[in-house]
Amino acid sequence: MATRHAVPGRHHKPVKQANVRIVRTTDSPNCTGACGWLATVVDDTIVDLKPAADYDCAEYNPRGCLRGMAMTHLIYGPDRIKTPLIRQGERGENKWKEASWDEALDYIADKMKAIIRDHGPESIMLFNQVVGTGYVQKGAQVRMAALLGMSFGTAYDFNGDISMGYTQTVGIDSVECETKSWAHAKTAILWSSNVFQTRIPDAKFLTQYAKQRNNCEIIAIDPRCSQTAKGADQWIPISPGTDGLLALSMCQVVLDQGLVDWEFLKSFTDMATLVREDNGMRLRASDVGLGSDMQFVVWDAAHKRLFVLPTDTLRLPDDVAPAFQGEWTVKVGGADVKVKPVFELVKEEVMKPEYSPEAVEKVTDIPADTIRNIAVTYATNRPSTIIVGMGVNHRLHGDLTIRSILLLSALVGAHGKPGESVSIYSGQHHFRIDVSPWWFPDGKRPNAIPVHYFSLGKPTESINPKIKFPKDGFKGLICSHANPLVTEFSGLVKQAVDKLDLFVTIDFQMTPTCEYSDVVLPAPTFWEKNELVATGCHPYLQIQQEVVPPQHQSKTEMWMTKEILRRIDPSLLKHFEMDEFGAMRLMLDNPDCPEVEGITVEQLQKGPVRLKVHDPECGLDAQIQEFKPFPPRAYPFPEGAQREFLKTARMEFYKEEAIYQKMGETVPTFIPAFSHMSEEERLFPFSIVTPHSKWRVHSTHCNNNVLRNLNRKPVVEIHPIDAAARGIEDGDVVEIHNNYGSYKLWALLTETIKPGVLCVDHGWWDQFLAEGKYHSVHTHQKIKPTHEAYYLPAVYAPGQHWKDTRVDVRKVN
Amino acid sequence: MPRLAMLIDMTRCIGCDACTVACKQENGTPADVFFARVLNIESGHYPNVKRMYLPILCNHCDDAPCLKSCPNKAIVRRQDGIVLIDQDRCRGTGACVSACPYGNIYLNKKDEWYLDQDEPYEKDFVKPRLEENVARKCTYCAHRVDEGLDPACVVACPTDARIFGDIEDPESKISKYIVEQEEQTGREPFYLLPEAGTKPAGMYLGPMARQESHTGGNRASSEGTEPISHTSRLPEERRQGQSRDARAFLNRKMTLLRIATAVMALMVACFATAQSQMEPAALKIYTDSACSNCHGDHGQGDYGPAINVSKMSQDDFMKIVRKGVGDDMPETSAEEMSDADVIALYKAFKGAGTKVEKPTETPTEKPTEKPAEQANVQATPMEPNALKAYKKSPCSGCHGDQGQGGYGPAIDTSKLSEAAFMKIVRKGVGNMPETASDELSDEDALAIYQTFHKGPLQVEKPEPMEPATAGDAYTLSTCTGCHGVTGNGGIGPPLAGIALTEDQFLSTVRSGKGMMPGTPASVLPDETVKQIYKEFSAKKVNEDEVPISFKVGRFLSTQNVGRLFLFIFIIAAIFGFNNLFYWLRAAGLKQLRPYIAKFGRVRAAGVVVKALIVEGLGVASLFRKDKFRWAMHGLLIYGFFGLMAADIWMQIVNPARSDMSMVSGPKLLAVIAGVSVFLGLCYVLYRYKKDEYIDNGMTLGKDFLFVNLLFHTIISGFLTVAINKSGANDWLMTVYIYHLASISLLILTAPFTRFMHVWVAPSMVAMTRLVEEITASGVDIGFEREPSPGRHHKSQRIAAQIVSMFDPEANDEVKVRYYP
Repeated sequence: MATRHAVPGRHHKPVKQANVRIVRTTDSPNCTGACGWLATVVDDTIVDLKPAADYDCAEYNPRGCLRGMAMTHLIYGPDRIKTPLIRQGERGENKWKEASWDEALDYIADKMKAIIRDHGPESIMLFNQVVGTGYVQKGAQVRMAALLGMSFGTAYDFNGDISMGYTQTVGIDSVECETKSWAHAKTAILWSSNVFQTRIPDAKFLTQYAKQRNNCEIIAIDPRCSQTAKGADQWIPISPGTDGLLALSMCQVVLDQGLVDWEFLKSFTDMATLVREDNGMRLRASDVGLGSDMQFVVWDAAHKRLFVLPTDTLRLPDDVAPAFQGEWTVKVGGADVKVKPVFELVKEEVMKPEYSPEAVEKVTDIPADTIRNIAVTYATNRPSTIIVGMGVNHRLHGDLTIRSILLLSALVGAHGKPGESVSIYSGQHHFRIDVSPWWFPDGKRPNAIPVHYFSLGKPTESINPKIKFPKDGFKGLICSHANPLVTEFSGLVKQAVDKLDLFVTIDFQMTPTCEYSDVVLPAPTFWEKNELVATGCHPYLQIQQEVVPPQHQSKTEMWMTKEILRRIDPSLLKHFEMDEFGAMRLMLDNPDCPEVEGITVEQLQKGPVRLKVHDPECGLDAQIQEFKPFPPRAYPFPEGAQREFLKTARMEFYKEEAIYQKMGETVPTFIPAFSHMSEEERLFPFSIVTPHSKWRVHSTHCNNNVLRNLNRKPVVEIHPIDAAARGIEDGDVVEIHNNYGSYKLWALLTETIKPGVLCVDHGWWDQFLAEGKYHSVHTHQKIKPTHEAYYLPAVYAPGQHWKDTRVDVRKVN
Repeated sequence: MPRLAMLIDMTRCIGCDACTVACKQENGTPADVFFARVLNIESGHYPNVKRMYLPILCNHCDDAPCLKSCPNKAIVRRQDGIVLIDQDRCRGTGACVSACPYGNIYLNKKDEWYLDQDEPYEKDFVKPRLEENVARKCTYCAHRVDEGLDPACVVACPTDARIFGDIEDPESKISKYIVEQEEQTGREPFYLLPEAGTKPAGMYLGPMARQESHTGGNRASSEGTEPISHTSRLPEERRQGQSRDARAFLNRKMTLLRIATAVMALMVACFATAQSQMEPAALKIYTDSACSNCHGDHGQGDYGPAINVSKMSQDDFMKIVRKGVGDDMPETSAEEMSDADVIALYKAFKGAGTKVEKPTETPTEKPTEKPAEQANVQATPMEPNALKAYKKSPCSGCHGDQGQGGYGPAIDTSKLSEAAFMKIVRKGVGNMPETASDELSDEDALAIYQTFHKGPLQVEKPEPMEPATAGDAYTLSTCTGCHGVTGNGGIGPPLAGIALTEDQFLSTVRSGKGMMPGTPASVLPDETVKQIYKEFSAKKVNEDEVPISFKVGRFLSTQNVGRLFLFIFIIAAIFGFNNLFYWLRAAGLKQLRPYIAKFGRVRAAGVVVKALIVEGLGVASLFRKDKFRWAMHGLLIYGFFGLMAADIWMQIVNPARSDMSMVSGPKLLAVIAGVSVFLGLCYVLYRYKKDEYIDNGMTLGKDFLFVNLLFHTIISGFLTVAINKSGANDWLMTVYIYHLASISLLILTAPFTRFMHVWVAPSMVAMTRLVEEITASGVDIGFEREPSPGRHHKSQRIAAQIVSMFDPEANDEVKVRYYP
């Protein structure tokens, strides 16, 4: 709790003490940390923020970080948007007319009505970034999109965070442990994950608990000695893009040394299911007359017969001994068909000589002995956990890397228990509760579409037929809670925006994206509105309170959507007859969602309430501990929505679909990271990594003067050897360039980065660069056809690959 | 008594800077001011690099340099150990900024803020809390602590890396954590910069992560590029660090200085111990006794004279001890010291000799020179009654039990008339006190006169004075009072063997010198003076008769006093420079040297000289903020300069230091300057009376010592002048010696009292200005990137310590980086 009574040394001028209120609330930026705060408010001004530290589970106290605490400087910052703005002049010219709300909303509604009339509602896309950060306000926007039949651009895939390797293997785009679970680990591999910067409130579970109590062996795999590597026992500077190779080599070590957990493979994976040699498809029960085509068979070595796997549980009868190795011939439709268990196929791949540690050493630059050591440590020094960072996933072939890592974890059976998991904390894409009753009125859903296709401007040839690309293309974009013009692909997004008739941005401060909009609507920060918040990191449901009224003329997103709807179709207003708390009640009174059973708004107003989940909740714990079939449910989709791409209901290390067979990706394999790029692109000598910065949440706080006081300039980290070869000295202005573009910033010479790698932290607004557009250097956008085999919004969808970029750097004279 | 402390666990710290921001928010600090900050340290070369994060905040030192360096006493240490800068009292001098070896004090001439002018958040709630141009630092959130809360950085730390509490309380969180971690992880707390001697309250536990690194030695795989050799390294000079030579040089210099100091100290020690040749048992009796209070620890003399028993019998000694001598030496009863002890001491001193005066002489070498013993053997017996009367009388206390002389001269009444003798006895002469008839009856006195009419019962007869009239003239003159009856000196110097010319002698008699009063011709005609001169200039001095006091006095010649002061100045300068080097080390001069070189040494010297003149001599910071205080301070500082100038002036126009008129230039200047210092001092004393910071928690004793010494010096200086003018010569020597002693003490203790602010404050301010200039000039990328400009070099020093502890193989390959 804050006390503001005195100044250092002596009392100088006592701060006024009238009208002091202390409010418990939660913030919800896109770090998705959902930390509880106590705000001290004097005369409707937030003067102090301190961690609330009121979670029942004491280990979670306190939660918070520098960005949360510096939030006052954004709430009262100079870039706050004070009134609605309507563009005068060309896009990006930054000439504005300060408009009244009526003017601005009329303008938007008129434009929307015209587009709906001429091109259909799906020509207008709503993009409100990662939706899990705010169930009520973002939900109101989605509810409007659903009612009008608009398109809804999913962000998780656009951000590249969707882990398709996870979806392909486990049936859900990623799975995370509650971070308290890390505390149990004795081995923790941080695979390009920088939790000391990106998960600040949770880092203590590694340092204070895992390290101090268990003397956990922490291994950081990263081309850059990051802030997190500081807390690691081993820093493994890996060559960028070779993580999948390392994972497969570790798998080979595990197989070689007989460290396989057969019990785990038996119950929880498809390793024993049989694959037909003739068409590469899995052998169905229907093929051999034992059941349906959604049932799969294994060879029961105990009884020397085929055994049909149960579909309602993962538990096999004790007397069944599925065979993992061997080859059998079965009769399918009268023909003899050779079948092999998946394990045989996986083993064939993994045991290839190119995955031997000695061969892998040459490519990854990790000594063979080290590869063996970390594999053995991971397999034997248990519990062991892997935290995957997006450096390995933000690549075209990132899915294969994740599949290889999951293979490694499955071979040793490290899942579903405290301190045992493969976690990916990339965005709050997962809903902890079922938001459908609020988001999808009467079951109506908007036309969800990956933003990829928006920025490409047209569908790909291999687009999944379930994806409805607007017949006339996109004509309008309502962008909220987002700053898409400050990303690695800003160039392409901008090209797409240029074709629009309407570009509305809703934000609380004037971002580069706002500057390029037609209409800018001032929104409140999350300290000025009511919201329901949860996160993958901890199991508490919390309410965000309106600590101070919306500043200036800003209005909540829920109010805005109501007003837009009123102007387009007043009959739809009946779906908006409640306030924020009414919306929360809709989601809480949901018998279909066991996690919120018995939780009420009134309880939440008193403080955080624990969801009805395991303690600690581990990824896949229901599957591993209760033998519940895979995959876990992906809210807000109904149970079974993922069944089509995880037919065996087990962790799948064999993908049978024709496109996988065609691409040679049926089992986890390695494809060099840059091999899909043109010769010209590949010739640029540097790989560039773009980690999150501790000074920002993506691009939020970029203009926070307090944080900029600590981190004044964008720099590129470069090794002195590379710098010397280019005559670059510490502090020089340098230009990063490739054949797509360039930008200028300052050089930071450091020994903490692998030679041949550059590092620029992500999220800088262009105005802070020495010159140019942030991340105008990129690769062309490609979609991997296997990612279009199925479609479930933000679960099975194509993702971005920011890190597949090659550049060069030169000194600016 | 509680002692608040903070322990930072480097294993837990993830370098997130939540503390940095929490502190900013709690304390409303302006831009570039970070009471809590985190050092981002990297060491070694790829791939063997290590990264460490080290949170830094005010250490609230037990021996806080900032507090000691503050010329305004604006920094206080609370009972619980929190060190605070009083924002009202601080004058923005800037000495503390440099004095803090950790770089944790912030002083901005002009504050920069973060938000628009009209935002109430900053305008109404942040800005009013701190004033610009005032030194500021972490307070351990004293306002929160007073309400029973933890500091903001502790509360906000998401990894519980900061443990705060009372280190004196074994049940406190911090005490328990220290014990627990020592048991569980074997880590013991350490301090930053232990060599700075600050005794910080901030403690650290080291990192547990091994931070090994593994690489196959290839360059990052970039398809198409060839792997480069693992051993390909940077040019040698880049790795070497260019400051190595400079450091070695500085080290050598410091070593020389240390050796010099040690030799000096050794010499002083030898000098002191050389005098102690007594047996340990006797020495113990002596040191336990009250005698040592005045005569020094080894009888070498201190307040009282050196103990010299070579001319004393055991009985004489006993008598002096029991009855006392003169006004100063008190009687000592048998209860205080047994006879046996007194005898033991007598024997001991007989054996030890008087090394103070004649270090080469030992009693055994010159046994024949012991008048008392020889008197016992050779003296013709006195008339028993008269002898009895004499021995009983107080006379024997000084003149020896055989009248052969002791502390006083030998008794020789042969040249005195009876009446003259009686006059001397009854009225006293020089040091000799009057003796009333109840102490010594006229009868006894006359008997004594008779007894000694044939001269003293001594072997070494003084050479006869001729002509007798001259002797009478001398004996009857006031000169004997000081110069002794035999002219071998009493309280004044011996006249025998006088080296002056006749004219000089005459003029000295007429105008006096030093404590000697002028004697007009009406009292002592020129003829007589000349007679006296003739007699004594031809005569040889009898060293044995020269009183100890004069032997000391003779030592106090102008030249010797000059030499003594030179010696004292050298000793004080050694300590003073050592002291100054301590502060310059604290200010990070060593770490700053490479930047000074880049900045330009001449340019740097200019900055320093300017600062010394403007901020040191001019006391500009005080002038800016409080003109009255500046004027009062001016009385002292410029008074001191006046005194020094007067002395130098005197040295030039009157090197012999003979008496000058009060209206002569140097005298006048000295008096005016002295009055100025006196007035300034009175103001200090007046202020002290009502100053709530009289005890700032650390420097009370030192301040007290300084002020008192200064007070005594000034008062005794004025008294010396006044006594000289009034002619109360009995006191002159004492007061003058007291004055000299006070000055000596003042100078000798200067490096250890508040006197040191005379050079510490200006030098620290000069360092602060220099760092400001270097920072502003942008000579180094570190300074340019630093969020809190001006402490990069100190951060480097801390980083070097951390790296030497946890990555010793990295040697001096240490980098403090600021972002990202």
